Amino acid sequence: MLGPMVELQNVVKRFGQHTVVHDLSLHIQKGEFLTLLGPSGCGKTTTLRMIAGFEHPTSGKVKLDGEFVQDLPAYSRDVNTVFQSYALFPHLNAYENVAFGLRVKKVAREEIDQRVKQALRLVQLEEYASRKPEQLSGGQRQRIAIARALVNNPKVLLLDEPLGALDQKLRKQMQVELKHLQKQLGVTFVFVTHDQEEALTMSDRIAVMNKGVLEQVGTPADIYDRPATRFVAEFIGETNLLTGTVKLRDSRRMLIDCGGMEVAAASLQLPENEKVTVAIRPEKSALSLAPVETGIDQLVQLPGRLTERIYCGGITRTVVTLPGGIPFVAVEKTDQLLPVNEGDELFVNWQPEHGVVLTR
Amino acid sequence: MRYSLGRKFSVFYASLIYLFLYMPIAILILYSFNQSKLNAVWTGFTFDWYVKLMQNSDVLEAMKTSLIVALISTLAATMIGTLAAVGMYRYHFRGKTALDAMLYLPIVIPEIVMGISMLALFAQLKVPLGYFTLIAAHITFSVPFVVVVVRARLAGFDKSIEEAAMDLGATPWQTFVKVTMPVIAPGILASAMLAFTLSLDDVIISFFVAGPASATLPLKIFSMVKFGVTPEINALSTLMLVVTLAIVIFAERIRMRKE
Repeated sequence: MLGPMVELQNVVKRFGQHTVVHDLSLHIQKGEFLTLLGPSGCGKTTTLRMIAGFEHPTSGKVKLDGEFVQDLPAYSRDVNTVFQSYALFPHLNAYENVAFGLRVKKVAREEIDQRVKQALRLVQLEEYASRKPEQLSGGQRQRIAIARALVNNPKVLLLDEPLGALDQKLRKQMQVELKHLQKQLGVTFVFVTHDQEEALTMSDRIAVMNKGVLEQVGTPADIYDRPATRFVAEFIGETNLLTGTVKLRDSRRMLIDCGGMEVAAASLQLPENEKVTVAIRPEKSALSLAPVETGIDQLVQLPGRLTERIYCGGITRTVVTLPGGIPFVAVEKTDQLLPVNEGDELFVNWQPEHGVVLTR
Repeated sequence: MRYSLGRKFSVFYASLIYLFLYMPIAILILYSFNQSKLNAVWTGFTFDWYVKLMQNSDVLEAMKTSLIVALISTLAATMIGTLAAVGMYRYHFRGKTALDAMLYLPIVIPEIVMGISMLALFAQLKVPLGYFTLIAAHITFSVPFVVVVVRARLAGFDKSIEEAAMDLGATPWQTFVKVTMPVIAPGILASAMLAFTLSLDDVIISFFVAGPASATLPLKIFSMVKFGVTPEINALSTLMLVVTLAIVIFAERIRMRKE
């Protein structure tokens, strides 16, 4: 195993008084599809720009394929970027846009022609070679931007919210295409997005950022099933959060008091009275008309009142109000709805190990 | 169709404005084709004044001076102004706001003040008045206009395409030549046209800094007018008008097409 393709070592970026990226360290493996995910202003684009060479880190180091590059300008780095606005050259046609990088690197004419045509074929836009950017649709511009970057055989391809400007359908299609392209070429992709669904479907690993801090790095399943922080649990997918304090703990289970409700969860090394948050995914919970006959350490059961049912096709999202007015979202199969109406009492339950206990 | 009184009045009012704007020019052009030497009575159509003009060596000499000064000063002012505009657009530095504002100031400084101050400067430095001083002065007053026009073009410029160029391996200079320049070229060209026409018809500043052997066309006309407005001057003015209009229209068309 060779070293990582991209390595960020304690990178800090400040703009004036404002710290945009706090002490960020991250390794990105060769051939990996890594997504920087976070809300706008979380520092993900700044992080990408530091890898690209458009921003100089205030402190810390950036390593690319084993070499420190933090002091190299963008044009001396072996990475290419697909910009959010595509940033195609308006005065050049599609062919010349793609050829630009090879031309400035003084690649031989025949080789340029061959590689540009190959890149255009890769994005299925060979017939559009002579079109100017203004004569191309959004999706086509997007692909030209990708071809323009990939034609240079970069070590890393950086993508800054490249699908943001596309409509929903085209977006889904491009997600699949991009993923295929990445697998086929084996190029390391660093992808920036604020769309958690996009991140979950495309990435090998996701790095979740918030307010310039790296909250968690892991596979989509890690991030979804085992969020490390409250922020990650809330940002990725839908989740129910119950806050409380640790009451009892043995080696297997601990009991958390959430405003009078007793919630069991897998035991963690935590002192008593520690403040914690329990996160439960809607699809991990179930509803019942009466309490299920079982022990408190087998199943968490909370009484509530049905507040609202939201039809979502095959599934229905059911909002239950727990004691203390806490809303809890569960999922029901639309064709197997419980025979209850709004305002009726019912019970929410889940297995203790499905509740993720968060301390921050 | 019947129009209301208000509507009739507004049409009348608008007509007056345009009449006032263009009547003198129309008369000037018309009388440049008049046979009579007097600018009062129309006696018949002729091209004589234009022919006579082309035989007037003083006028031809002034025309040559004007063209040389305009060409050189346009070239220099466009280069200086474009670089200034790009620099002001791209870089952030201490005192930028003040420097930026000071670039535009010469546009509002009275020309006579500019003229006198330049004359004083050249006298102080003991630079003899002539082509050099004339060109230097014209560059000076053209630069702000070039900056204004180029910056307007840069305002709509997508900065990320410069980053894209550098991302693809282009050095800052290559980026400027291969991306920035071609994209803002219509603005540069329009600014050059503006600088050219400004130089071509400047009177006040040129009056102070031109030497005896370097009178520009407007200065020549000015001196000819002292002895009365002859049809020959009408013809000369008409020619200048045609040239200036042609340049402006050409510049506008480039600007419109590229936008």
